[in-house]
Parts: sequence; C-alpha cells; structure tokens
Amino acid sequence: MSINLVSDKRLDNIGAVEKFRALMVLAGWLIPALLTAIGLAGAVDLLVRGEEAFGTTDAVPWGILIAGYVLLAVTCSGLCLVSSLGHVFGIERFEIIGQRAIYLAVVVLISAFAVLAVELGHPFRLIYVLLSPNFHSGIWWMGTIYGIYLVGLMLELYFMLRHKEHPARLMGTITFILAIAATTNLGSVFGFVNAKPFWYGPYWPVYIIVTAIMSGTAVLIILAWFLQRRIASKRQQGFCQNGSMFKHRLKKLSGTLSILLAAEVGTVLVLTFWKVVTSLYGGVPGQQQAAMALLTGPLAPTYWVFEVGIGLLLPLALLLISRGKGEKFNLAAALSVILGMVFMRLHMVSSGQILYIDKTTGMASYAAYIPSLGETAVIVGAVGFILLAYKIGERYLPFKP
Amino acid sequence: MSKRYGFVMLVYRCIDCKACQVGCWAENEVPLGKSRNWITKDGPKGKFPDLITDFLPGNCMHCGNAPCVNVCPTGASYQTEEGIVLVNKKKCIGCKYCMVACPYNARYYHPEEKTADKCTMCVHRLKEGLQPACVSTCVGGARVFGDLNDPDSQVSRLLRKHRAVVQLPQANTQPNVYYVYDSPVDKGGIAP
Repeated sequence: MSINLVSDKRLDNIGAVEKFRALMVLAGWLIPALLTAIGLAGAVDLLVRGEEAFGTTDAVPWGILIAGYVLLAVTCSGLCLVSSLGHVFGIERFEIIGQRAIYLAVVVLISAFAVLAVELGHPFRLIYVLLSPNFHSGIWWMGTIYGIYLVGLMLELYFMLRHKEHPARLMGTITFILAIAATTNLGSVFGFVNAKPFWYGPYWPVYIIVTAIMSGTAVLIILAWFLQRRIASKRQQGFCQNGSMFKHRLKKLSGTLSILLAAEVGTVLVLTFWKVVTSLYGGVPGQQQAAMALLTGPLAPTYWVFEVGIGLLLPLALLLISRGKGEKFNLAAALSVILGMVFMRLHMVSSGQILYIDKTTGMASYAAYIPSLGETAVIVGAVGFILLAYKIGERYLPFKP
Repeated sequence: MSKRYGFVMLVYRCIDCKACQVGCWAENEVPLGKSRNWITKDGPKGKFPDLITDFLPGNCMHCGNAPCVNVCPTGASYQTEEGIVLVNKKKCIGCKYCMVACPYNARYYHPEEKTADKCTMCVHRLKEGLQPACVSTCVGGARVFGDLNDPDSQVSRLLRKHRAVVQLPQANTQPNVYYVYDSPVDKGGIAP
C-alpha cells in the first residue's frame, strides 16, 4: 500500500516536471514573440504619428534609436570578429561556436537595420545612397560598408552550413575586414562632427571597435552558456550523442572568452577614464560641459550606476574573481557588460548633443531627452526579434555540432 | 564672376521686433513651433549703469564650407553656385546628420515632410527679383541682403566701410552672414 503511494507521488512529480518543461518551452517562444509584437506596435506608432511620437527634438536629433542601432550593429561586428578567431584564424577552441555566431551576427545586423529604418523618415529614399552618393559623408561610408557586410555575412553563413570550407574561410576573411571597416566608419560618423566637441576626433572610431569586440565576447559567453544548458536538456531527453564532449569544449571556450572579456573591459575602462579626464582638463570649449553632464549632470545617475558600475567595474571584479573558471561568474559578468553597454551607447549618443546653446537667449544649457514609449518599444522589439530569430535558426538550420 | 549671396546684419539697428520671423513664417509656411530664423540676445553687457543688450538677427549662415553639405549621405543638402545652401526634399532620407553637424543649429526637422528643413534665402523670391521675406519685413533695416561678389552692392559697401565679424569663426565654416556691431551714428556718421 505504502509502496503504491510513493510511486503515485513520483508519477505525479514526473507529470508536474513534464508540464513545467512544456510550459517553459512555450514561454521560450511566446515571450520573444510578444516582445517582437511590442516592437512592431512601437514602430507603427512612430511611423504613423511621426515626430510627435518621438522623444527626440531639434536640439537632440539623435536618440535611443540611433543608440540602439549603434549597439546592435557594433555587437554584430563583435560577434563576427571574435568568432573569426576560430573559422578564419584556425584557433580550434573557437571553431565550435562559429556557425551560430555568424547566424546571430546576421540576425543582429538585420534588427539593427530595422531599428534604423524606423528612425529614418524615408527609408525607401536610401536608394539615393547609391544613385547620388556623397563620398564626404561618414554616414554614406558606414551605410554602404554595413550593407555589403550583411551580404558577406549571409554568404559566409551559407558556405559554413554547407561545409564548404575554402569559400567559407575566404568569406570569413572578407567579413573580418569589412567588420573592422564598417565599425570604425560608424565611429567616424561621430568623429567627423566638428560642431559637437565631445564627439570630434579619432577617439570614437577607436573606442567603438574595442567595445565591439567587448560586446561580441560577452554575447558569445552567454551563447556558450545557453548551448550547454540545451545539451543538458537534450541529453536528459536522450537526443544528444557526444553531448559531454561538446559541453566540455563549450566550457573551455567560455573560460577563454571570459579572460578575453576581462582584458577588453580593462581596456574600455582605461579609454573611458582618459576620455573624461582629457575632456575635463583639456580646455576645449564644450568638452568639459559634456564630461560634467556625465559626471554630475543629468546623465550622471545612469553613467555611474550602469555604464561605470554595472558595465565595467562589476564585470571586471567578477572576471578577476573567477579567472576564467567560475562559469556562473562569467555569465553574470557577460550579462552585466551587455546591460552596461545599452547605457554606454545611449550616453555616447547623448553626451555629444547634450550641450545646447539656445538661439534666442544665447545661453548654454543641457538639452533634455527622454525616450518616448514608441522608441523604447522598438528597442524591446529588436531584442525580441533577435531571440525569436535565433530560436528559429537553432531549430531549423543544420548547425554543427 | 558668379553671384555670391549673403547677409550683413546691422546689429545696432535690430530692435528685436521679430518681424523677420513672422515674415518668414508667412512666406515659407514654416510648421508650427519651428523657425528658419531667429534673434539672439547678446547681453546685457557693460558695467552698471552703462548696460547694453545687442540683438543679433540670425538664420542659416549659408557657409562657404558648409558642414551640413559635407555630411549629407545622399547629397540632398547642396549648395548652389550663388552660395545658397538648400535641401533637395526628394533625396533627404531623414537621417538628421545635417542637423547634428550644423554648429549654428540652423536646421529643423519638418514634421509632415519628415525631412530636414532650413532657410532658403527665399530663393523663389530671388528669382523674381525680390528680397528675402525677412529682409523686406525688417522694420529697422537691420537685415541687408545682396551679392557679396558685386563691389557696388549694399552688402559689399557695408563690409568695406565697417568692421564685420562672423559667428563661430573657429568652426572654419566661412559663413556668408556678417555682423556689424558699431553704429556709424555713434561715430558721428549716418548709416547707409
């Protein structure tokens, strides 16, 4: 009698576990789909209502959508650059993640372009980028190179999935070069602007390539962690052979990535420090006020908490404690870098525009910018789209291993 | 030699009445809340009780080395042979790079057309031999417009006679809008 009771309970438990698992699988599809729908609703709102639906003004023409575009486009470059250590430069440890990294790079870049299309008033007029190009324009170079780069990434992915090694390596080399060119050109869009002293100069092209590699590394750590979890669940269900080998390799890769990430976070910390210090004491008109906006002004709360605290100091501490071994520390560090990066990009775009000279009073003040609901929704939707598209790829594309 | 249009703003003549702004709004159907021209208050300056506030009429500087033209990815922002900086609305993709790049904040975003918009020097009026609307409506005669390449034009005569300055010379934009602060009346003369 008592034995029966125990087995009934166990059966109930198994039933509950199965139900929970099914629910989790459903949520795994529903949540990204819901986020994408929110993004689409935001995009419709922005496209229909136009300027009044945006938080941007004539004083602050570029807002969270430009910051989001930069975040996504640069992360795409980072994914390509870091993963090419495997399939281009032949470091075996990185090869395991190459296909998924390039697929994710394609997805992230498409979402970046989608965000930019919502920001532009007339995306279809982009044809004039080809018909009447202005070679003096930073945006022309950035847009053109990113466009070619997207095609290159798609070809690279195709060859990788078809296991055509030589063309895949050739395309990988080309996209490696294009990733550097596209990203630094994106930095130059800011570097060219003489009118914004905090942006002007070669700092941003350099900063943006370093932060690209940093965000790419962080995303790959998160990806490696998810893949390990996936293997664990597949093994439980009996689907995965050679799972323990794959898991072991992913674990080793994650360790190496976290050491890379520590070096990158350290470098960005140094760049961030000297940018602020040279702006404060360099005596260039406009730079000091922008730096003060970050340190004590309207951007200070998010600058200190998210960009410096969560984005740089916390991950550096976590990575130094873990020294590449504690996987949960690595994952926490990677997530915290990505969260910090969201604000880092927002500050990068805002800090240059924050000093505003009123035309009628001639007085300098800090220009206010608060992202609107629609703008924020589009960014949320971009994240949802990336998750959804990645899940679709993982399910239907022949990724190996 | 081709024409090079420009403004000479006689600061001592501006009374901040904003007729130039109203004239421009009416002439160019500028959207509500936006403006192609403005008047900047410079002051109060000096030492009490001898204080003075100058009023500086402003609009797009139609720079010789225009940052907005340089940064436009599609060439929608361009400069005519006469030096007028214009926006080809058909080519504008709405990226706002020109707005970010203008050190004078002379541009605004047109909410209906979803393009950058700005002072055109009333090019449609110039074609009919008229002055820009802001010049025609200026009560004090503070805004003077003409061909800077023509030595006999009023603007050229003014620039020969007076010390003129440009705004933000350090930006190296070579503006075609000049400012004259010193009143000839103060020196015993009569303004032209």
